[in-house]
Amino acid sequence: MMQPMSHEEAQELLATEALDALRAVEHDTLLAHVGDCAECSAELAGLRDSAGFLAEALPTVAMDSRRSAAIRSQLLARATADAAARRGDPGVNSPDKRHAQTPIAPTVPLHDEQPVRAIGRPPASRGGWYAAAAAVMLAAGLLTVLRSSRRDAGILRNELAAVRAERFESEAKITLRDSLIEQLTGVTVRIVGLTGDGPKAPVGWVFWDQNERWTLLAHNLTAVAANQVYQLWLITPGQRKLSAGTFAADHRGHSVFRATLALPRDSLAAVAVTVEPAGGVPQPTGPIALSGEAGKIGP
Amino acid sequence: MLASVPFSKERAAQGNCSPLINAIKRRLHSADSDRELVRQMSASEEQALGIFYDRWAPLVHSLVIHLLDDAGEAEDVVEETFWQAWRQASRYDQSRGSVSTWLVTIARSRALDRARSRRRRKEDSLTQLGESDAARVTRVGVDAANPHEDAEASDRRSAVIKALCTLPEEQREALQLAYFGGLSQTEIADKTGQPLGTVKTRTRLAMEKLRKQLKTLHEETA
Repeated sequence: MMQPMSHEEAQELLATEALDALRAVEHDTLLAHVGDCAECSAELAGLRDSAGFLAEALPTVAMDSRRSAAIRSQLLARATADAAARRGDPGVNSPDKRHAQTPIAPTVPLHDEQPVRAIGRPPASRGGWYAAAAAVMLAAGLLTVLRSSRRDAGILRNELAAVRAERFESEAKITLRDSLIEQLTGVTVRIVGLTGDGPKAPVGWVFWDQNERWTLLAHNLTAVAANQVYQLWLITPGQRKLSAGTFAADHRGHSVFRATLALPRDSLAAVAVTVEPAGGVPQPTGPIALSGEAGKIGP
Repeated sequence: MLASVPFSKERAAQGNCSPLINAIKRRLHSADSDRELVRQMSASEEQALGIFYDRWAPLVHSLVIHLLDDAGEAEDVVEETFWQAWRQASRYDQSRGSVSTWLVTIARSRALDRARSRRRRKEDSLTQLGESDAARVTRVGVDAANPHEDAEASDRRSAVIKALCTLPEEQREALQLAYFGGLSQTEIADKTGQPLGTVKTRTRLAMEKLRKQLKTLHEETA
């Protein structure tokens, strides 16, 4: 007998159920709970709708127009027959009956079969052996061809999957670039220029958009130790220091870091980047790598 | 790593995220007529099935061809999907999701059943190999008969990709393997080498984020 599922357990599984990725036993137990729980039922409906959107992420592959028209006609013919059957119209066969009457494959009359003519005149007693040997060779040949075809199909399928994955990634990168451009160039974006000391003269910019998204572009940052990171701080007029997160720079000292943090538009006095232990700290403790006052445009 | 894509009323007004906003608007506008079509189908009005097919066949076909990689099988599944929708129209329950979600769920479920069955058959016997999948796929071309629809589909696609881009890569991977790969959570854990608990958490977080974003957009377009 199925153990009932608690509300909390059900909530944990709703997202997976929306993707049809639950095991059968979990699926059944969850649906038993959802049937009695309005909250979970509504939540699941919303998640299913979100999952439904995923199908739209795929590239459109249109069906061959003739095939599509044929399928449409066939569906309508079946629906017409089905509707008539539901109404009890005796003039139209039900679709199921129609299918039952349709043979799976055309029947070939026996008299159409042609005898195989013998080539040459082998002794009657050896004929069977020759035929068997030929059949074995033919089967072996077919098996080789099938194996080779299967291997080729596998390779082509993998290549196709790789091309699709590449295309998806390319589209994702373009979208990322578009969103970056939006975040850096919008008319409402505020920009804070950052400068720092040191032999490489590090510079940077922080872009703050209306949607509380922060983008830091930094150059010439000095390499830090393996157990250290850079940490971005937003400083209010009252000197509160809010961490926007930690980041690393590449081997050239360049970094693009993004964070989301809500802050009233008049509550930013300055921005700073410090060097901190890996994982970050609640309040700045390390040396300042970059800093700049809000309102200042450019480094 | 992929970054979040910001959305707001201001941005919507500026048209900065118009593809997604437009996609959602279209969905909202078509939702009523979809429900009406399903109601007519449940009343055995076969012309409604034709309109329903014209509206949703491109999306259904794109999904199943992706899942099956076989044009012939994809066509079969498209037909089976719409036939099931016709037969079960009276069982459609609005409280369980939109019409398009219901239809896509039918299509995906049928396609994944076929894909699993094919996998089993191939494992059982070499002789089951039919026409090369790749050869069939090459027969599929882009139907230019309805360029407006193609542009609209492309618009929707870029919009959903944009939404997916807001997810961290590992969450997006879990989502893709589950939805497009038809893998269970255990299979995803095996494939990615991550603990089952991690996979479950990633999937849940991904779906919650996706839903939150779509919900916000619904409110913004209302």
